[in-house]
Parts: sequence; structure tokens; C-alpha cells
Amino acid sequence: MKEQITEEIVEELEVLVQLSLPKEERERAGRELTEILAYAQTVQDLVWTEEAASDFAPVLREDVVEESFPKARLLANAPEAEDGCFRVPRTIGAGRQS
Amino acid sequence: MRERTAREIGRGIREKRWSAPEAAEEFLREIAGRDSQYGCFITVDPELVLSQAAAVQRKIEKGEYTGPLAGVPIAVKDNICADGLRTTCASRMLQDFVPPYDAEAVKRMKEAGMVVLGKTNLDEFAMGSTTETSAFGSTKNPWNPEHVPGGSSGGSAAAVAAGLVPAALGSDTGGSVRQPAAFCGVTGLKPTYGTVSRYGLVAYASSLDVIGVIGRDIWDCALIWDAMAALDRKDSTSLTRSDKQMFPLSDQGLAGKKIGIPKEWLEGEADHEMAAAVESAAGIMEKLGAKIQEIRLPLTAKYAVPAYYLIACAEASSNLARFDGVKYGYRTGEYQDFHELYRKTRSEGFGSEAKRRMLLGAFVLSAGHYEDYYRKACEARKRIRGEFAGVFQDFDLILGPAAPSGAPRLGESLGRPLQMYRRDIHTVAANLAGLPAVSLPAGLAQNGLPLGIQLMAAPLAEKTLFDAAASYQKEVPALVCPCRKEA
Repeated sequence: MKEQITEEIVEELEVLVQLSLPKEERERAGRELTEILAYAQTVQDLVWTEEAASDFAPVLREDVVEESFPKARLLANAPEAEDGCFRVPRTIGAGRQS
Repeated sequence: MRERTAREIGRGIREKRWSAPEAAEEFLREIAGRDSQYGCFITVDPELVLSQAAAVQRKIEKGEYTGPLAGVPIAVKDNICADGLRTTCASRMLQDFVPPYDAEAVKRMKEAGMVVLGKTNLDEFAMGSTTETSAFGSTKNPWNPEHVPGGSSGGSAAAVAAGLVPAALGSDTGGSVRQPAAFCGVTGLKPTYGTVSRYGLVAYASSLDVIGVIGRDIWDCALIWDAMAALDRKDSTSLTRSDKQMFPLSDQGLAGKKIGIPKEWLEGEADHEMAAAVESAAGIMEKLGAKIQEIRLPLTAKYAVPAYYLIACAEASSNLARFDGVKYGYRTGEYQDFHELYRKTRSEGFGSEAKRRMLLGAFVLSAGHYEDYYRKACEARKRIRGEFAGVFQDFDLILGPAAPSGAPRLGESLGRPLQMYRRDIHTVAANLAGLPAVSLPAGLAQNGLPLGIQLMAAPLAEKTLFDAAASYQKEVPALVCPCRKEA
């Protein structure tokens, strides 16, 4: 069954990825995603099996304290900085997003 | 200098025919004089280049740098961090970002004595196949500036083809080193996943991303591979390679080798000129002792592109979540609260292709869709890996196109994303299965644009791949872009 990506669905996705699209972009995104998913749906033919995809074993390293970056270098790319901190809008008590 | 390979330049420096600063100056002149025609570079800092070259020359003279790449200039794709050099990922989101560190691959280049000449253009965040989604303008194919150089490492490929730099680093998530190398008539190498540390590569899709090399030929690419291939404990997917004895590359690398050509990659998925180029390459390889046979890859043909885009976009939606206007990068001008900060910053900072892939990725990971899309795509990936493992039990190499045709015209691919995605049919499989692969120039189409073939090998079988490519390239001379003859 073809997945229909409506404008409402795109709006929900915008919340998930923190974007705000203008109406015409939202409409276009819906059409494009519908087309792409119709093509990609073919993977649903397959039955998922439990076995591992690969024998990947993560590389670990010793937990050793080393020299870190100088704070000034890290703050040099900050859009706004003050007193050695990143300056951001209030988050606590700021309310839920609409 | 523009006609020389990286190893010729290195040899000239060792033999004192020229110095590292002289080589750097010459390529800086090339870039200043000719890059405006192609738009290969986003950032070039001549002062930084010359001071690095001078420092390298002092170390060469003290005997501290003695390797074949000492003093050789290299360009770096602009999604790979270089300390103190703006790294934008061709995005407004990082337009002023200056990394405080070198990517591990760049660090290893510098330890080999290479000089970073500049940062090359790409599709934004490496998402694209034409280098047209860059926020800094498209790169043009030096063979015909009305055509794309390919993507996403289009700037790197075009720079090498135009002789603005002898070699360049790129990144390959679904073909982004191999395809632009093919479109620009140069050699593009994608190592086995995990061979080159991804530390400092701005992540697009972490289980698929690989740093690769674009060069004039396989000998240059293999030399640079050798300098970069090493375990790095800062990358938890990094491999220990015990097989570093690649040199010298054999010129008997095709003798007795069994090579499979997937039927599905030619039928309906390559135009007649590309199919003819593959057949012609197969004929040359047979003459050099290989046994060529048609093979079938039905699972790969059916599922590779859908699985790639579902997995890559899912991973991208997660990886790009870090760009929020808080610690680095673009921040929107006006906002009421942090919700608005995030949404306006990201909506203004990202281009449309990056947004499309994040939205798709969020959908396939969301509740109610995860099992049907993302998990099934992971299953497809397992089956594709298994299919290749089966083929490599009986075959040493796989031969096919690097792309369905030569480079399309600028503007042709925009506005039809699915059509563009489907053109990745020949390249995404190597990323899904973690295989090493190389694209090699294979002549010109009737319209004068290069065609590229692709060789793939089993995971960790770079020696087989390099030797085969070397044998082929001894027989098939490198293409020379006409633009290199310009003053």
C-alpha cells in the first residue's frame, strides 16, 4: 500500500527534526517523500531475521585524562559567548514548543 | 607541475629539483589563475599554505620527512576538518566554522609531509551526486563546464582533473568519491570501511561514510591510502590493518584473476556507451590474464538503492541534529525562545536536499514506520552483504560501471530527487557491504566527457584491488583533460 505523506505528516516530521517549512515547501516535501517511499517500499518484501548484521566489535581506548582543548578555541566558534560560557535562551521554565 | 603525479612531485622534492614551497606556490598560482572557471575550492589560505610548506621543507632538509609524499600538496574535501582552516561542509550552517583540530586523516597527511592546499567544494553535508546543492555555488566539470563534476566530492575530482592539485581527499558514503572521479576522468578510491579513521569527518551516515582519495592514478591513490590507513582509537569503527605491504603494486595483478560482471548493472542501468566501456575494459583485462564471467546480484540490484537511502537518511537525521545554533555554526538573528532558536536556525541554515533527507530519515525511524522501513532496510543490507560474500568465494573482483553514463548537464538532476538517487545504483552497494572499490578512467563518450569503470574487491582485499587497477592502468593511459593545456 502506497504511503501517502500528507502536509500534516510533514508538519509532524518538522517537529522531530526541528525545521519550519513554508507551505509550498511542505507541499513539495510531501510529494517528494511519497514518491521516494513508494520506491523504497520494496524492502518490505523481506522478512526481518534476528541474526547480527556483522561481527563488528567496537574499538575501545583507556579512560585516561589528557589535555583537552583550550576553552578559548572552543568558544571561538560560538554564535554567542559570555564569561567563558555559551550564551543561549532560557530553557528551564520556557514552556513546551507549539 | 600540473602535469605531474603526486609521487613525481615528491621525487622531485627529494632530488632537490624543486622545493615544497615552490610546489605549493605553483599550485596556488594555478588555483588563482584558473579555479574561477570551475569553482573547485571553497577556501584557500595562501599564507597558511606557504607557511606550512616552509615548515615541511625545513623538516625535509633535517631528514625528518623522507617519505614519497613529503612536500606534496593535497586538497581536502570541505567536510573534513583541518585545524585553523574554515570547514563549511558547503553549508550556510557552517559558513564561518573554523575547526580547532585536524581530522585524523589530515593529521596523517601532515605527518607524511603533505601540504594542505585548500578545502574543496561538495554537495551540502555530502548529500548529493552533482555538487549542485553546495551553498557556495556549483562546481563545473573541467572537461565541459556545462556539465556537473559529479558529487558529492565534485570539487576534489574537478581540482585533480584540472591540474589544480595532484591529489585530493574526498568522502564516499554512496559513491561520492568514485562517481565524481569517473565523471572527471581521474581515479577515485574508496577503502574498506574502517580503514581510514572518520574522526574529524563531519558525519553524514556513520555506518556508510568512508574517507577516500582522488588522484591521477592508482599509484598515487594507493600511496595516500597507505599514509592514512591506520587504527585510530578515537573512531570506534576503526580497523587494525595487518596487510600494509601494498608496494610495489604488481603489473601482473590481473593474471589468473576471476572477475564477475553483474548482469543487472548493465541491463537497463547503463547507457550503451558505458556498457561498451565496461565490455572494452573487460576485454583488456582478459588480455592481461583475467577470466571474465557474468554474475547475478539479484538482491543487490533490487534492494541496494532503497536500502541505502533509508539507512543513510535515518543516520543523517540523527547526525545533523547537532547543528542547533548553540555551540558553533550559524544561529538565526531573532528568536523568542530556544524552540524558535532551533527551528529558525536549522530552517535557515540547511539547504533543501539536507532538509529532505532529514525529514525522510525521521519518518523511517518513527514509531509505526521503523519496522517497515529502517529495520527492513537493515535486513536488506544483511542480505546484500551475504550476496557479495557468496560472490567473493568464487571471484576475486567485480567489474562494472561507476555510473550509468557520463556526467549530466548542470541543472538536469535538480527537482527530481528520486531520479538522481536511482543513478547511484552501481556505487551504493560497496558502502552497504563495506567493500573497497575504485573507479578508473575508461575512455571518452561521444560528447567528449569521461566514462569510468569500477572495480570492487572483498573487504580488506585492497592489495588485490590495487594490483588489478595498476595492471589495467599500465595498459590504459590516464586521460588528460584538455583544460590542462590552457595557459
